[in-house]
Amino acid sequence: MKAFRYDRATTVEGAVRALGGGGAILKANGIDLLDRMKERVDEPDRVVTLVDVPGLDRVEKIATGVRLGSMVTLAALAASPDVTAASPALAEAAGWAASPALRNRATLGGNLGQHTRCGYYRLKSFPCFKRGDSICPVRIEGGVQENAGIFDNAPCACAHPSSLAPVLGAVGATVRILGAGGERVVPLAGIYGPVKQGRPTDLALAPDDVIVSVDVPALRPGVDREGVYEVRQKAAFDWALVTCAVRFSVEGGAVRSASVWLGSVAPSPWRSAAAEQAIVGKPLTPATAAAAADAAVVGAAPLPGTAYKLDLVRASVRRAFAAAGERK
Amino acid sequence: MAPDDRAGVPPPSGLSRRDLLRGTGLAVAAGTVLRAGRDAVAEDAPAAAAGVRTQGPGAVEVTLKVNGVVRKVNVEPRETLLDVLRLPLDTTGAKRVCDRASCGACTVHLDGQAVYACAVLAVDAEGHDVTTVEGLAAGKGAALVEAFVRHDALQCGFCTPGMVMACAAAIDAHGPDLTMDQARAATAGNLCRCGTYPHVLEAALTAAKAAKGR
Amino acid sequence: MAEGKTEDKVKLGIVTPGVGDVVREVTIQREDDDPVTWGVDAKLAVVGKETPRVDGRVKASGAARFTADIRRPGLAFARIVRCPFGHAKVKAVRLDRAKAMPGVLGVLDLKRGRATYAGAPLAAVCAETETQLDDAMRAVEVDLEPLPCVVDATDALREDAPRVDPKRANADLPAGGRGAAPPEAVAKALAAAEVKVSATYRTQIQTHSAFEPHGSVAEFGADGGLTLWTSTQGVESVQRDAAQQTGLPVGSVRVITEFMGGGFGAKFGTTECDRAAMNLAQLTKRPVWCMNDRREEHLVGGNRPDSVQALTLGGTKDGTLTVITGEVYGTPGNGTGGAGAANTRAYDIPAQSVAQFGVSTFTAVGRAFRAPGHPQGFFALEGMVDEFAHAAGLDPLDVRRRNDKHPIRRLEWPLGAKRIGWAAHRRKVPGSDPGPVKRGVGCAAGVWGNAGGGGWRIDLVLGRDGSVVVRSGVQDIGTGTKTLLAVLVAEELGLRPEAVRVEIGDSRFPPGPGSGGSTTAPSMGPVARDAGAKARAAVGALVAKEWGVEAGPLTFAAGQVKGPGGKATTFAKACSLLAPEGATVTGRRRPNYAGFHGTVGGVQFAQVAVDVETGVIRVEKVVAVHDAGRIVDALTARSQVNGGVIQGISYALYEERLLDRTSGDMVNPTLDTYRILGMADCPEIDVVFLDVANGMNNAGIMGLGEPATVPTAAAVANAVFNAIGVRLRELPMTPARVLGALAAARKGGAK
Repeated sequence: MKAFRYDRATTVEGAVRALGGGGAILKANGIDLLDRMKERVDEPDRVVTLVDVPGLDRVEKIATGVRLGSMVTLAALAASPDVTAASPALAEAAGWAASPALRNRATLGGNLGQHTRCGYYRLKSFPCFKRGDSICPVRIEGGVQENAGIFDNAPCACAHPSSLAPVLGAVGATVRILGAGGERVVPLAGIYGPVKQGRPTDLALAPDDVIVSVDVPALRPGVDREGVYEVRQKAAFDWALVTCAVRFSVEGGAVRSASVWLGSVAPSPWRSAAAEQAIVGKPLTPATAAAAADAAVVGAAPLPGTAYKLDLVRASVRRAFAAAGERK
Repeated sequence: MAPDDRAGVPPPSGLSRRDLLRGTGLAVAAGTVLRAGRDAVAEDAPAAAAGVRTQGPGAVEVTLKVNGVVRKVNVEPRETLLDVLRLPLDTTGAKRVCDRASCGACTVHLDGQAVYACAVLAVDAEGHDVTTVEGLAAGKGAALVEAFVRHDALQCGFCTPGMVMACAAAIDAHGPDLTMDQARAATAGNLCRCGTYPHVLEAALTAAKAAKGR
Repeated sequence: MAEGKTEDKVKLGIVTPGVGDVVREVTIQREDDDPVTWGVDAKLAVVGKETPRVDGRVKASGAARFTADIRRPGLAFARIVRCPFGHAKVKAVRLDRAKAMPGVLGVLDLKRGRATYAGAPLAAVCAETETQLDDAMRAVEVDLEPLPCVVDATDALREDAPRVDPKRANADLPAGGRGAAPPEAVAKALAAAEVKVSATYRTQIQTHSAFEPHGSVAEFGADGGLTLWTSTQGVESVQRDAAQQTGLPVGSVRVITEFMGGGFGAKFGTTECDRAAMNLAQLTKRPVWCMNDRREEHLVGGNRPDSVQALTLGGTKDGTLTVITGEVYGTPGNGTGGAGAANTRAYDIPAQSVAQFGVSTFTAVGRAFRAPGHPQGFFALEGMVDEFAHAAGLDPLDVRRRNDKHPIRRLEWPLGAKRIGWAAHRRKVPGSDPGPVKRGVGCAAGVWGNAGGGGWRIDLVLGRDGSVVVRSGVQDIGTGTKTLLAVLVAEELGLRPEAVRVEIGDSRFPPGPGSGGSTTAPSMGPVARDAGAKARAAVGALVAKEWGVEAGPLTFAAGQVKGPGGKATTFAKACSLLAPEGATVTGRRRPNYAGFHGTVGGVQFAQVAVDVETGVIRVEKVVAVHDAGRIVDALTARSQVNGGVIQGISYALYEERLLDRTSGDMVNPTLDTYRILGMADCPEIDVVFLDVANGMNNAGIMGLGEPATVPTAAAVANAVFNAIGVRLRELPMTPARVLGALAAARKGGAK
């Protein structure tokens, strides 16, 4: 890593001010950031950390559901009865992500803000659109395409690797951010932005914005159902190939509202409005779930080496709905 | 042979080979590659904001508690706990295999929880209890170490310290009733190239039975 | 009878009861003082039992110091700056800025005019600390002109492909043949074959991924001698190379490998890191540590070459295999040697003609990797045998048994079949399970052949206090060599293995073989036995004299020495009869005897579950039936088989070096994107040993490490076919490939 000054904020406001000086990057526990810094993909002069800010790791029951501090670890999410009650799919996804040692350190905020796993991005000897070059080597003939995205994959074919973010999208989570202009609350989709040449992060936040907490609306018993399904090549300790998370409400035997999100298919967590439209108004059956699954790949434009993800999207959408159906 | 074209394959989109190979830090072909980045924090870095304690970029003295012993050591903020354990503290049980939080060979306990030492800054470990395999083996992990030996849960031994620490965490969490599935889940983040997995699980269960209940 | 030779009639064959009466009396002509080889009826106290590793505690407690852990006063750190392109002109290397960086002690220009693989070394830098080294590396300036490259063997065959060596085409043609039968015989057999199958099998580049990287700590002493702590499979090979490279006499170079973190074939002789460490140690007058990081290990640490195997297999409709032909090529990197696939090494098919050649590419050289040529060769051969059986409407296990004449392996098939439940679990109609998750079973053979050899020696020092110390320059790469030596000495002396202190991995001790080819146990085990026997003879002679009896009938067992008439003493007390300085005996390795059989077999059965909607394959169970002569330590032997199976499944399902075809660099040089099998992927592995009194050396030991990984990928692939009814002929069997094969089959593609 390049040498850096470590700025240890003791309040979120202090972190925002420290970030405002420029040349700095925000760090939670650094699970993703340290990897990038070791490769010198990131070479900040200053690292502003939240590790000394008290209270950011709280799980708090609120009227609408549960408020998760941005420094809550994945292990804490998985083990929390309040999280499990508000969103069983979130607890589940947190519980199978990565490995136990990583879950003990990886934070919610860090998970949302993590960068793509694209091998070209993470090695400086390769050109990369996100790191400022004009081409994406994945898209060039001879590029390795296996891990690319299938939506919004031009000019950059990266995929956002978080398996939690699709769940948060599906449950309608909102994100509280403190910045130089004060505090604001945005839906999950609002923290992400389109790929920009020379911008490695997919977060559309200002350099001095700090994610403070995430509010998760609670599952309404008897009304809402949710499910999450992740396709991984290895049984554990592997990046998702595709994740699907769903939350929907059922009334009078039919789906009244539905939220279908996918992970690892686009530069940011991907909401499938097409799948939602396909299922709303219908009863939930294997056939309607399959129709939603087929709708979910409409508009996908995979590179030849990524075509297999179409099947994975279909399977994970069907199975996320099936998992929701099985849950009491 | 023209250096601009990949032989037999016309460059797509009219891009030349030089364009394809241009990347951050790599200059145009025939120029300099592997150019040095800035090697010092700019003189004009903003002063620390109020209420923000700064460390570095040069070495700072930190106090680490490793295996119950207080150690003072000078480290730069960029040094990982793993590197500080292995070098100035000469506690080489935890191994560096991937240095990218993807193999588990550097697993230690931080306040009793399994973490990858390569993914923890040494300065972040100050104020916390660090336990390495050496400390565990000398203390409550002795039975676990014996179980590893008895079940041949090691071969070359390079992943073994990490495996021991992961199993110890499983035993701490589940006690004598540790199941195979729980042991498997607890060690899912510890890779092994020699193939010790089946025997590691046997050792974990044997050691768990010997452990006192929580 | 030749001078110094003795003849014994020994019953050799299968020791394991209930397998079949496969015992022969063989006349062994041995050197007088070599212990008689153990026959099938040998009663052994320690050999064959479960002996925990003698170095288990020191490794599991973190106390063991591997090369990566060696710390010396004044230790400095070095790394190599490498070319990121597969092919580049190196126009300049500028080291002035790096030299001026804080803490830098020395730099090397590695003077390479043209780089022909990503990872080619350009320069080396040495600094006081790793952080200073990290900064200094970035200050090295290199002028590179990227050139066109080709990294795929098939691409490299094209006429217009860039040439690795401008003076010759990339392909090493004409091809060599394996078992080349005369063309007329082959043509005749092909024409006569009632059932014929043709297919092309492909396997990937696999990197060794040993957890400890390559590298060394090099330190020159005041007398100019060199000490090299190194992570190697061949202490002697490194000593030789280092002496040659430094110009020192061999005797002035000491190589130490007390513990090493895996090799799998990649670590023989000195490599770039070792040479950089030595050069920089000489330059800076400091001890220097230089090792690869994980990316470098993947890039330049060695690999198993890939393969494209176009084969035709033919035979009679009742399942007798008569002919195999084909053409095989692969890339071993910059060179051409070592890319062969051993796809004719089972079933003694009478008409064989498979041509093999290598293709150079702009990638780092391959290195021998656990059973070179065999996992890929058997993946193809056993896939073809399965396809043949399917085409003939026969049970693939029946076809194998019909054609297998290996005297040991043919007994392993029914054992394995029973334990996997072949009759019950093999789907008569492949792919016939309902539901998205389909199960199936498959099987495959393996073969290897190593009875060891060489003129190795071991020193055994007896102390008057009964202490026993064994010294050998051989290394233990994780296979348990150290324990093996202790067990064999303990067997002879009637001691527990823990009572034998073993010191290995130091070139100051009598040299041992490199740990490759699965030769270490069969080479060194008999030497240890011989040393133990000599020690026993030395002590026995003294006790016999003390008791006034013949030495012959004395027994050494359970720490005691016993004689006629109830005479008894402890081993320690017996040793007190030694001269004050104790006694040193030397065990020697004699040439091999004819023995029972020169090769080992091995069969594996796998059960898999394939999710046809996601393409994800789970291996649920593997039954591995193996033989390796006399099993010395049942614990470490089982670990070896587990290890071979696990690597084989990992090869079958996950591992693949992914190179960018434009730049030639590796896109997944990690342990998360280069996937290796993890704990959660590990199936139930049921290991069965056929113990064989082999008689080729005094302990009857054969090698085991490599045979254990030969059949696995083939068995898994055959199980996948049984599960989904679609043949995958390319490794690794990723979800993308499974889904692709299923889609092609639905479109009416070939099964």
